[in-house]
Amino acid sequence: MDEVVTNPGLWGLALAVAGAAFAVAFSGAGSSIGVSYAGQAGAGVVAEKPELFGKVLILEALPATQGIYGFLVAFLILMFTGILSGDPIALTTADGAKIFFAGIPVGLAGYFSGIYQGKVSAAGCGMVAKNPGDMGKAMVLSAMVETYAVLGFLVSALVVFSIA
Amino acid sequence: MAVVPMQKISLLVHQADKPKVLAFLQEKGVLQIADIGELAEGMSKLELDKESHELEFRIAELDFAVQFLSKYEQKKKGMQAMIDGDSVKLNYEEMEGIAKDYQYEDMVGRCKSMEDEMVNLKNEIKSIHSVQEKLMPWRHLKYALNTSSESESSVSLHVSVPLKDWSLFKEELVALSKMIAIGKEKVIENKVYVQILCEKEILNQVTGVIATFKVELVELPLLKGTIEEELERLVTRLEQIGVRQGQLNKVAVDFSKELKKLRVTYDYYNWRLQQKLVRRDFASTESTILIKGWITKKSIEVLKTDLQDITSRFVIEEINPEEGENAPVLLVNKGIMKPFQSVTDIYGLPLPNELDPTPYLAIFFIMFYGLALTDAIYGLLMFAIMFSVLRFLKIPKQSQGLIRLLMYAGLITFFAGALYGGWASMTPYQAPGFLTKSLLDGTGNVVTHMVKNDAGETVKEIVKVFKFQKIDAIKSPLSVLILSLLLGFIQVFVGVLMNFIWKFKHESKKYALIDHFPWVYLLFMIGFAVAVKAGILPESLWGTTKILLYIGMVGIVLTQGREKKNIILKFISGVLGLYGLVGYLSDVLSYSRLLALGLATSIIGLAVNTIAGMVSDIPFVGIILAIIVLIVGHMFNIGINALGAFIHSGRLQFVEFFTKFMEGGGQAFKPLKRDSKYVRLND
Repeated sequence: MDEVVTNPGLWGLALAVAGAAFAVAFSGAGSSIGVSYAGQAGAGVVAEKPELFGKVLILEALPATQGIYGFLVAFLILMFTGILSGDPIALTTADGAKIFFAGIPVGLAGYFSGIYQGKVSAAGCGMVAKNPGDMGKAMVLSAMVETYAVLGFLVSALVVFSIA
Repeated sequence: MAVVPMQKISLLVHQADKPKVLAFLQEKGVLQIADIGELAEGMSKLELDKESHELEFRIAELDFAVQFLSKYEQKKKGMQAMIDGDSVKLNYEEMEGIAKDYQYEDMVGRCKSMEDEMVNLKNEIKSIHSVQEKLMPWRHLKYALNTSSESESSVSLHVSVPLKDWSLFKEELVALSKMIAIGKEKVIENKVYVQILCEKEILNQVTGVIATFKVELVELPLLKGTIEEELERLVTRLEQIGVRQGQLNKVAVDFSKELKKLRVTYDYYNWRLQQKLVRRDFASTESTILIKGWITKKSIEVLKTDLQDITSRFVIEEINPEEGENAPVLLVNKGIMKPFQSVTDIYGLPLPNELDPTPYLAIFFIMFYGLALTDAIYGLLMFAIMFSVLRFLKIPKQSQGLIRLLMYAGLITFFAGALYGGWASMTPYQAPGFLTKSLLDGTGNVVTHMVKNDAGETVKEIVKVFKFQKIDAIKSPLSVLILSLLLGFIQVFVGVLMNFIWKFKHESKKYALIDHFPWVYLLFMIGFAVAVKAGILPESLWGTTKILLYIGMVGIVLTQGREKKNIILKFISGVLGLYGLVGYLSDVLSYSRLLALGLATSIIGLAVNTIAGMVSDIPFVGIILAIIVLIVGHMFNIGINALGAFIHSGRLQFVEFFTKFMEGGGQAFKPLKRDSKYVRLND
């Protein structure tokens, strides 16, 4: 503990880990809430029309991407800081803070877009229940929300790349 | 390759020829019947006749039998059977041969009685179970159940008491009177089942105690035997039911062999009903029938000649559509463009006076798909899978488009992946030698760098790169971002240009020049200016470019307020028109997703490879675990990103591209044809 306080290099690393944790935790939370909304609506559809399971599953999987984006950013952070290989690089506190901030776009955008995309997907399940041919439309409507998670991921990834 | 031109026609035929003509129209599937509209004098609308109702009844019966028996159908195994599902493949003659002489009524009757019996048996089982549950706790009573529960002076009661209240309840009862006898108590789970005998005089007091403790008074069914006997009888009955159910199931499985015939017959009569249902849109006089409908312009002559073979008593005339009536829309794309129509179909159809976007979106869609996936090995896998599905399985024609599309997409992804150096996210050092080469510096010498080897020593290593690789998305994401935005700009510009050309050719030339050309010019100049600034075009052009750019902006301000009356309002909405630039900017920025999606694929792959590398260090089972991780991980990656690439590439077409030149919302062309649920004719 003393070493962490006195050694600024380790403070940087700790911040970087916090960034990775933030990215994966928030985007994962958003995705799981979103997927659960879509899953609940989907279960209702499947109860009536079991043959639509495949389509409903795809709609349910759409809000799961945010969690993956968060995981990817966390993975990149852990890889570039050498934590993954067990040989962490020395980071100044400023560098560590930079990496911490890198985790925020994907974490927050993922959290909110995950939830709201789940709602759109849930509504899409209703569309598919009425007319299975509308699957493509339901997917596109849901993907509109995902755009902002994609952009968040993009910015997070670009910041992480800049430290490598 | 376009929106097929449509013509509304009217067809007048003799009453006597009506059935023949309708059968003919349905077979050809060329005419979409439209509502007759206002009736002329002496005409009346046709109603459904008795035969139509009979057909409806038949279809309902056949549908019942099909639904009932398909629960017992022995499904064939394998991919092909899964694809075929319930469909039956044959030609019309075979179909008629089966359906015409098939005495389905007998089969339907049997199905009905079987279903009745099955339902009854199921209900009986349920009621037996509930009786069993009721009787079980009272097995110790040895008298017949229909023995009267009261004598002249005393009454017998059966109660179930929660265990926790039992002792208190008993105390209160005993305290009531000596004229109460409590039978043997039986404890099951946390309830006490007990018989109480009491004098009739104190019955009210007893029931009062029962009510205060919320004790349940049990009414035992009045059966003949003792409880033990009755329980035994029920078990035997259950066994009998089981045997009977087995028999019924067997018969149903046996009957399900008739399903093919039933399904074919269903479609056969359903087609006849479809012929009948359209008659509500006809007008009739005593001897003639008037039909109005939409037909492709090309088919009019064909229809005339073909109809001659059926009858000579008909008149076909081209007529004008009703006010506010839009022609239905049919898109026809041939050859390599055909699969791309499944992308357009997701969005919906253009209006009849708009252009078919399919050929234009095709190249962009497939290119963006490749860029969003960017992995050569994934692309090759997709191509191989889709190719073998088409080659070795018989896919119904209507589903072939999407599979073919994914096959092309796999091929393009392969090339995109090779350009990006994406080979299942391997580093050049992990990849097989034939994919990589040594990096050379400007003078042709091999470049080396220092790395730590396994023993921890620093050694010199030759730098390797992938052959064909032109871009590295992870090392220089900015160049990929610029490429993505550039492609986006091109697509948006093409959209605006297409809009101008289409309006210029097909609508007012003047207004196309005023409304749409300034945007074409301004966007072109912006592209030109960016090229100058980026150093692609010589710097010396900047002065001229600047002036041309300003001219473009002035052009927008002068033209976009055209519809306003007041000169000041004209100017204001002209200036506001410039705000449209923000829209174009955000459209172009939206293409940055191509970089993000491409990165996502390669980073997930990287994560999978790294995890596999970690588990491979585990002694003994490491290699096997690593292989499992690699296979599952990469399959997951392909699955999720192939889907993501499709949706996002599609979205770029629908939201960023289509909106530049298309309103959409056309009604699909739905001719009277043989719409079948099961039969696939000449597929």
